[in-house]
Amino acid sequence: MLHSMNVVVRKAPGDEAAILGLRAAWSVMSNGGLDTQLVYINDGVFNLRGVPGYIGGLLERFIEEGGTVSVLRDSLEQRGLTQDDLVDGVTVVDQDDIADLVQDADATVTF
Amino acid sequence: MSKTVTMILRSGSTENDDANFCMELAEAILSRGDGVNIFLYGNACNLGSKPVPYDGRSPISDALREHMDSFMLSEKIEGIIAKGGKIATCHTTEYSRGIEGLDYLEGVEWGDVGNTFNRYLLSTDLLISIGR
Repeated sequence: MLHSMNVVVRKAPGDEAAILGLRAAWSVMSNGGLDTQLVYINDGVFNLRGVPGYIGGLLERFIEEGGTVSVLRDSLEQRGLTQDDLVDGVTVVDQDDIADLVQDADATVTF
Repeated sequence: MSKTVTMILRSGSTENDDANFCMELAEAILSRGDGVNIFLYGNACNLGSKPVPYDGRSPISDALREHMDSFMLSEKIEGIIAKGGKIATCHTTEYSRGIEGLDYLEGVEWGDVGNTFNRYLLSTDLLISIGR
């Protein structure tokens, strides 16, 4: 049985994978009770800009209800973004931190 | 001691290496005496439905039809289920494709990410995501 999971989202809003990853993370946290970490990399960082509608709303609920959200610093910098451009409650991390997350979790899935 | 592998498949439905790989991996896992769950998410939900035959005149050549038929996974999916594998779709991603009302292949379960996927995780030793 799994107790913890990282959900890595690499796609921007407009690609179904972005919302599939968020829904999976929400589900395993709220229904499955897993310790869940959402990790945004590559174009996935655009999901953290305060997207209107379902995506932004579910991300806000995920954070409010105890989910952890991280974003890769390199991906932000490559797109000219900083933490100030993101919604509240997101932690900016480096590659080494993500390696630790992967090592510490029971599973890591990518979207 | 046998283990259970759960796969989230996001790619389908035809001439798709990810979907084919997933099903072949499932067959290999079952043949070793281990368990398999497959959750058909996103485009992969297309794989769970029964083919709908077309009775009209078709312009598809026999050669092309034979080529495409070789990639169809319907029989393989039913075979995996017959050997004990569990396969469920995500009805939400079916809804978004307008296929929620189609009949399922033999043994495929109506599912959702909130309940079915989490139920799979309860018995899972290893989780793999396949798709792009």
